Amino acid sequence: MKSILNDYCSIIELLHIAGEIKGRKKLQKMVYILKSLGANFTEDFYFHYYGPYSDTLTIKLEELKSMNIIEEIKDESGAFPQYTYRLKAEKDIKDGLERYRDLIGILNSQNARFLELLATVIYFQQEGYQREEIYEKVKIVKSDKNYTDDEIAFSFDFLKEICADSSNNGVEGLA
Amino acid sequence: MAKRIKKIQGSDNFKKYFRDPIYNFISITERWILDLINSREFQRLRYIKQLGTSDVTYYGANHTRFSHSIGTMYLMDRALSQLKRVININNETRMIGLAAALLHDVGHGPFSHVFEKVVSTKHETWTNDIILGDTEINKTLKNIDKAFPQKVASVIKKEYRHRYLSYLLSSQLDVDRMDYLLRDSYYVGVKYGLFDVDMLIKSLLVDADKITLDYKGLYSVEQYVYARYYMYWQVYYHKTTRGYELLLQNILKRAKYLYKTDSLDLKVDILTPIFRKEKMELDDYLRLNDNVILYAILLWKDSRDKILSDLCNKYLNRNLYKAYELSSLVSLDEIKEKIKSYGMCDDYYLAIDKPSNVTYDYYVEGEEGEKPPILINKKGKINSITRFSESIKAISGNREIKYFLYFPRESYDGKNISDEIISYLEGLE
Repeated sequence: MKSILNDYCSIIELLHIAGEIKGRKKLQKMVYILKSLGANFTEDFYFHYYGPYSDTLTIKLEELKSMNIIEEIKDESGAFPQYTYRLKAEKDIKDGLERYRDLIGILNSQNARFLELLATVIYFQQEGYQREEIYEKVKIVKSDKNYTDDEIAFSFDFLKEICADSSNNGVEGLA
Repeated sequence: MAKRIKKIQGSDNFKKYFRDPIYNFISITERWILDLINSREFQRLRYIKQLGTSDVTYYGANHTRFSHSIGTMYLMDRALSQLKRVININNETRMIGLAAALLHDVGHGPFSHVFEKVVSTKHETWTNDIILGDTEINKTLKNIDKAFPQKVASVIKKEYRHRYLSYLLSSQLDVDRMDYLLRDSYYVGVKYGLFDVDMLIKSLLVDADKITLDYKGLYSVEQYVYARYYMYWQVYYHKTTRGYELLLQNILKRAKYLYKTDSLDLKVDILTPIFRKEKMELDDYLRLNDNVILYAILLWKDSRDKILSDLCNKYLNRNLYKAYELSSLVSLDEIKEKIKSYGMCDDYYLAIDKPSNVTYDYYVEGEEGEKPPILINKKGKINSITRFSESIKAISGNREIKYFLYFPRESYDGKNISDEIISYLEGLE
């Protein structure tokens, strides 16, 4: 069975370490940020309206659900539903995410709005834009989010911190 | 700038007609568009089929990325004309929208998504490189304005300031999908992909840079969402087509392995760059099309390598893998052993296909901030389509997951293998 789960190992290990992740957007951005820092996720991301997004990751979650490996809890109390993910039963699968444990905890404690900004900043950095250009880009592509200069500045500082912390734990910088 | 654009657009008398099977006449009234179509990079799309290997299942499915790209531009033009009734769209914005629609697929490689798995560079990256690199397309766009290529590329990358252009080109309700559903449906010979495109376009509106749809177009968008659903199951995730793609993917995988181990006996020079580790040069990439791959397969059918030769012969003679729908995922260990016992390598003769391997998808409404839903505007109040349509709610809540297992029908010496594997699988159920 393990070979069939090869494609899903990192997602399963992420949920094992995180315990549970509230919201698809948060999960998407966490995977993108971890992948950018060198974690072994194979899902392709492209830039979408709410920042980097992976269709493959979305469908893999559905597949894990259909295999009865993860649980998806739908909360319909708000204007839009929100989904929480956790493992149904503990799986002894290791895919090298253990060294990201602290970072996973930090990211999971942030809100989805901030992770969307952070993932977007990382995306533009990887596209080769300079800091000042990224401020402009964020304001264009996230005009409806009204991110302030302070929030963008904070995301740069946050990124610097997590890169420094991660490299102390043997994790590479931005991929 | 306005004067320059006027000059680039050509005289009032300039008119070129294309006869399109979906929309009948498409008229090109601006010379710069014809220059883009006539460019070397765009003409390459004549040799890249829109649906890759689907013609093994539906023999009519031989249309190309060339006609789809022109059709997408045509629908973009109509959509922008509609939106001009509600917002101000200047000539430059319109031209950027048309160019982005025409060029959105220009970076596709041979057999598109199969090929991407081998070269591991996405077609979107090539599209960007073609628009911004040293190409005929770039020259034509630069001739309009120095910053024009960058603006066109940023629409495709969803980074342009007028976000409604990107929504029109790539979202849950976009002109790209509208064209390929209608076109694929026509060439495949099925009616599943049909919907009232005129009504859909006539109902388009913009709200805060997002595309919405007037409530009067609700039935046409229901048709569109169902067209996506039916085409997904009947065409894009068809088990036979997917099996044929797998065969092609394995041919390229084997050829790459042989090249890397210096044992590929029949070399095709034009294909050599795809087997190297580093990213291909743009010029090398632009030399490739479906025909080059088919030529290689014709050559490799006589390779001394048993696996490569067998896979190529299977491809040419439509001797496909057996596809078996699994009711749940099973361990493959036993089946691997059976395949090995016939002297065959499971790396090339055994695979599971699943929805996350497929590029196409149907409409599923997620949570807020995941992917923008289709929005309906009813008397100024905007809400997700599932608030208005029970029928869409019914298919967009849960994704159906189907798994197919592929394995050989026969061993190298012609002995039936598939019956044995099927009875093993049935035993598990």
